[in-house]
Amino acid sequence: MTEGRSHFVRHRDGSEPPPSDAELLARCRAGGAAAWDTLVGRYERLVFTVALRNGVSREDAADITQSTFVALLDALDRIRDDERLPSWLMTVARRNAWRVRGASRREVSLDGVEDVAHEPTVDWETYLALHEALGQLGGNCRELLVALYFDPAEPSYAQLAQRFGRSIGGIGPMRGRCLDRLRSILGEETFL
Amino acid sequence: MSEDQSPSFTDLLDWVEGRADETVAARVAAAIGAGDQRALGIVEWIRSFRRSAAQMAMATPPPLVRQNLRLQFARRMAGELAVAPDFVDGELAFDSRRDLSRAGTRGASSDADGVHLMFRTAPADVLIDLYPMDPQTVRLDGRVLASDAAAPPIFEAIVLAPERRLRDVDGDELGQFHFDQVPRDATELQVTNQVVAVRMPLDLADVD
Repeated sequence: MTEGRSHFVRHRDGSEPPPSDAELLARCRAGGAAAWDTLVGRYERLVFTVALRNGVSREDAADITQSTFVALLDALDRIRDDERLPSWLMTVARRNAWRVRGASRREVSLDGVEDVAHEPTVDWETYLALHEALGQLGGNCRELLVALYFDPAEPSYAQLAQRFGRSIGGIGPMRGRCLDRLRSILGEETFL
Repeated sequence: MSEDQSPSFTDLLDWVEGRADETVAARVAAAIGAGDQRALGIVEWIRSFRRSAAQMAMATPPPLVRQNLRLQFARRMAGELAVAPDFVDGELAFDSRRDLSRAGTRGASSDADGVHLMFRTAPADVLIDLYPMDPQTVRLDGRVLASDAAAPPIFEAIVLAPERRLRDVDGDELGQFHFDQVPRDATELQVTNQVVAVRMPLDLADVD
């Protein structure tokens, strides 16, 4: 794979699966800017969403997303289990969010204004299991399932066909096989 | 029902998501009706997965985040320290309240068009449009025009008022930023892309 090609352009010919997290981290350690960009592109929404779900503002969630990836930069050489990157990022993001919420609560109490931030009900265990399984799934399957089931933009099959270099008719069966593989990784009981 | 006759995972998924054609839908319905435990288990799993996914839809961070992280990585790999740039003070080069009045065109363009400002610095010019919203607030639309075409194009903007600090992290790749409700006692605007930082005084009392 060549540095400098963008995350989505790489998918268009469909012949080369996206690199694994471990591969991307190795390239990042070697100074690969395109690998870093792909890694950030892969997980920035997860980190941003985790921050938002922990009750911080959009601006703070943007800061937390940045600080979480900067922490990853700091830890690049220390991360041992590359395949557990999603849970590492989620843990750091949640910790950063708690810190920000703690700080804003202290500021708010000084102003005497009611704190309206609240912790939304999130099943973090399932969330973590799901994103770890998606990370383990990797490749085009991960990208497709994230696009189909987690992307608020809800891309159409036509858009996905273009992105993955496949016919529109090929997207349905592909999602079926990918979701079945995810179910195997997660185990049948995960959501039941 | 034997494993061979049981609908495939994809058929069951198509059925749950309303994408199955008539033949597949009939086959799945027959399997479900016959109490096919494998099919029932998969259908329940798919439904649960979709419920969980719907509750966990991901939000997209502002593009500024990606830009800043690209910059952080490049600096880190170059062995540079991540130091915030020093502020450059913007010099007011144009103020429609003052300059149009001097030119004798103030009356024709003030009310509907708001107030327009331009601040100049060596690294960037900043254009600002101000529109009255109510007696307490104004809308502020801004755009940063960096002198270096290769500079990161997205800017974070901050408005400082005596008791408040507003941030806009949703700037776009044209250097535009926006605040809906800036208090009229705001005194300063800051913009930065982590390479350039410009600050400008604000006087919003007579924006009308």
